Amino acid sequence: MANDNQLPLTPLSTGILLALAAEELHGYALMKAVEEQSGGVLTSGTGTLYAALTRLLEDGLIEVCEEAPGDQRRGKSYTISEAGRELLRAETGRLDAIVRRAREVNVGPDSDLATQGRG
Amino acid sequence: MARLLYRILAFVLLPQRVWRPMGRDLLFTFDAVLEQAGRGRSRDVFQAFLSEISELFRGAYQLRFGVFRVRHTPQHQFDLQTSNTRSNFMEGWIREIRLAVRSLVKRPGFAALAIITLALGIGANTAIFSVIHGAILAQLPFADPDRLVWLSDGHEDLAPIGVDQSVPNLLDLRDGSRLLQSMAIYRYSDANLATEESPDRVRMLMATSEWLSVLGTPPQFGRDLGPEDDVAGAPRVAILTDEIWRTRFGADPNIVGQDVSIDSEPVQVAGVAPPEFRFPGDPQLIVPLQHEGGDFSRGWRTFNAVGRLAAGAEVETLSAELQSIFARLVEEFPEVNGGWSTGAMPLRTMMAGRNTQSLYLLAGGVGLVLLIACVNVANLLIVRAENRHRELAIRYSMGARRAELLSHFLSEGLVLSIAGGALGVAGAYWGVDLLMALYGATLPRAGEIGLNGTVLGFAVLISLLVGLLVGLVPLIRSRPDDLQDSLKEGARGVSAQGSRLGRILVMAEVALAVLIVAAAGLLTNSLWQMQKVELGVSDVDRVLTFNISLPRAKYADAAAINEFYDRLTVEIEPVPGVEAVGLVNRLPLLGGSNITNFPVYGDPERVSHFVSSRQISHGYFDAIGVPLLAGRWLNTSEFADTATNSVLINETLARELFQGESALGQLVGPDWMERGFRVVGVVGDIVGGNPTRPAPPAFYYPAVRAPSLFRSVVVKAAGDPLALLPTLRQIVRRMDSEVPIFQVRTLEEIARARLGMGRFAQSLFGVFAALALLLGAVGIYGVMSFAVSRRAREFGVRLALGASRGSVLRLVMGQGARLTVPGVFLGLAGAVASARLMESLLYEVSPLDPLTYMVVALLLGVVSLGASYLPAYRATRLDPITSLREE
Repeated sequence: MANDNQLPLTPLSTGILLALAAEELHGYALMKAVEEQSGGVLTSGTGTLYAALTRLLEDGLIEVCEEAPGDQRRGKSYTISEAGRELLRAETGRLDAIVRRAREVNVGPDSDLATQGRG
Repeated sequence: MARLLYRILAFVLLPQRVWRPMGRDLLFTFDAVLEQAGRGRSRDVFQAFLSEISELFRGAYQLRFGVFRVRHTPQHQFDLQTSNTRSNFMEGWIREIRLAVRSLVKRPGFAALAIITLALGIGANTAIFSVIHGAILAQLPFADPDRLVWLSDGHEDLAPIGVDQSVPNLLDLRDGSRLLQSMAIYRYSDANLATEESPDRVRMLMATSEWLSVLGTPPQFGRDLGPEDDVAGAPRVAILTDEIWRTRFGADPNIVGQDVSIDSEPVQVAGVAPPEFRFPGDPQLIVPLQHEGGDFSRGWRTFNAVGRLAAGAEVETLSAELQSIFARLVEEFPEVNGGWSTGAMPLRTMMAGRNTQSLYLLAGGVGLVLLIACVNVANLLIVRAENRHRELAIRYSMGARRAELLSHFLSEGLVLSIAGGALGVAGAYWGVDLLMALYGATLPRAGEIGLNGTVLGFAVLISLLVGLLVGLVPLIRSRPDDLQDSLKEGARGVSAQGSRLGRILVMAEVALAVLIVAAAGLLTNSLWQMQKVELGVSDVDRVLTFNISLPRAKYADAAAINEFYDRLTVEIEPVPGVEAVGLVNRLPLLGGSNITNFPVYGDPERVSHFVSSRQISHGYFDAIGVPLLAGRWLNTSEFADTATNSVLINETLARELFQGESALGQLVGPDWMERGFRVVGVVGDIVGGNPTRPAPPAFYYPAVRAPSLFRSVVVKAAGDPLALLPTLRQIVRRMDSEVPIFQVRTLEEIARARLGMGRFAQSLFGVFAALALLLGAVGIYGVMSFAVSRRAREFGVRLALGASRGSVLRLVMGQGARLTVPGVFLGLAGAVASARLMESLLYEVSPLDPLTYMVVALLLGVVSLGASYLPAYRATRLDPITSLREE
């Protein structure tokens, strides 16, 4: 398992962690948050969402919150754990390095394609 | 409703560790998703529901096979992409299928071989299943068919059940039984049906009232037979079956009330049976039996009955009740009923015939053929897996999960099996048609045999199972550890595991082939024995037979009938090419026309329980070639005298009644006769309708004593009997243009038809055996070729070091023998173990017949050696330098 943690997460898991880093969310709200956050690219259904949540829980990257009394109809909420924050930092750092490198060769997210030249 | 379905699926699919803590939340989220979708069009809700279902499957899949981290192999790049989109489980499978198709198309030879092999197996199984389904399994086309029973008698000397009964007995049973809700009596007959086109001979059922109601197939037009029709002498009516109503009467809806010409008499059509009505023998007309007040003696056993169980009754209790009623009848009428028993069986059992065991054996045989085909294809796939070893090994080392390989192999297997299945079903259409054309007459419920929905469902099911089977077998070979090992070995290195599996499979294949070939051999032997049995008649290929039925209206009395038939023989005799001509009421070799309880006259203790009787004219025995063993023939005056009591009996009857004494001059016959029949001669035995039973006792008396409108004519020709046919037709037409001759057959055809079912089983098993040998040979060839190619380097080294080509040949052939010899022994052992299954189907052949087994072993040995010869030969032709260079 130690080895596994060096490897990147699936985009869905990354999206969940990111959403939960912002606030505590329960099932459906989390689903929506992940979708919005990725600009509509990262959609999931209940099954895959909860599969990812299970795995994240087992890896200790998220935690279950106490259920507030008024939340009967919405189910449990989740939040990111310390280990999760660590991993997210590492992950975004990795992505950041990619973006930096991309900018160097003019394929960054804000590079102007018209000014793209060959070496 | 949707929620419930989702909930059940989730409960089933998700592991406990997920369902317990999260199940409730899962359902809440599902509710929210649907509710959100419900704000749009209703179609969106449905789409959202479907999507949620597929996501559920996908999530379950991910949880079990753990795809949560991205790894760097091409396989997993896919996961990276797809988890971005709401792709579902199904798409993944579709992609796998497409990949499998593409990779198979790249190897067309391999794919074609695999598909054809599977097509043979699946097609053959589908064809046999359609026969079994139609003949045995399918529900009878009647209302509430499980409540229908068939009554029959039994006798210790003849058969425990299945013997015909008499009308008075049946009526007494019906009156006495409380467990029978209703019952109808019937017998078979034939009649001339004349319509505008031509006169035709049709099969007819003579039945008592409410025949259609008892079976639960009420008429579609008109009425059923009623009690008024039961009275003897009442105006005759007829019920047409749906088929004849369509083919001969143009589906005329106004046919009821019109007259049709049956045996030259006008008969009113009372009704038309519905299309569901089917009955063994395929009768086309139903007419009343008119038993009330008619002359039906208690000893005249030609009738049967169907009945419907009263509510709450079961077949066994009915049988017991009938038996107790019958016990009283035995006491009351000991001469006629002594030694007899009665009983009932489900109608379905009767309609399946006595051939169910043969059919199930055929199903077993064809199943074995399918197994052999699967083994071959599995071997092919294993070999292919071996060839892609490196690729698979690398995948594993990069972290591919077993699950992906599983789905990959499965897809390949399924694609092959579904393609093979489709091809096989197409072949089965043709095959079943062929089967019906050749053997339809011998199969029960032939009208219901065909490729219907159930049969196709069966084909789909076995295709899927076969696909799973052949897809999973290579996986046994491709365990991660094995693949790791293979990377360590040289480029050509393949772990011993794989070839061992292949070898085991081939051995199994050989064993299965032995079983099938042994069964085919035993059946062939049995058929041969049945054919060798002395029929008792001679020169069957030169004897022509046909039937004549005179219309009652024109030939109203005995004198007219006798006159016609006398003239007929007089006209036919002088025809050139005719050696002899005779008449009989029922042809030889057909069985039927029996009399029960036939004693020595005045001595009821000495009795034969079941005697075949024949009314003959002079010339009969000449025409069929039966020898006279003692005494003399009947003479012309006896043939002309309606009051004569001279008879001939056959050897078996003489032995039964008189043991060692001479039968000549003795009197035979039941007590109620004024004077007994006098035996003037003893003739040779003729076998009856059942090929597995010895010749029945028989007696023959002059036809003039019992004039009948119906006669069979036998003509012995000097040359080809069919050449005489036109002349014979002309003679009859000249005598009476309204009288057709029908059912023209040579005695040889009749003799052959006796063995119908036996021949059916034997030829099918012959085909299976040929298939098994072919597939087995291909399998052995494949495995040996592969083994040789694996060891090519080794052979090259040997040859380079001076080994003779002969020694290499022997080496390879020896390897082949080590495969097949144990397989043959295994197969023989299996055949011995299952010998009991075949016992009842074999005639005069033991299921352990050593000669057959030896031939089978030899045959398999030769085929296997032949199959391994070619690869062995190729091994000897290897150029040592080239094979050594290949590294």
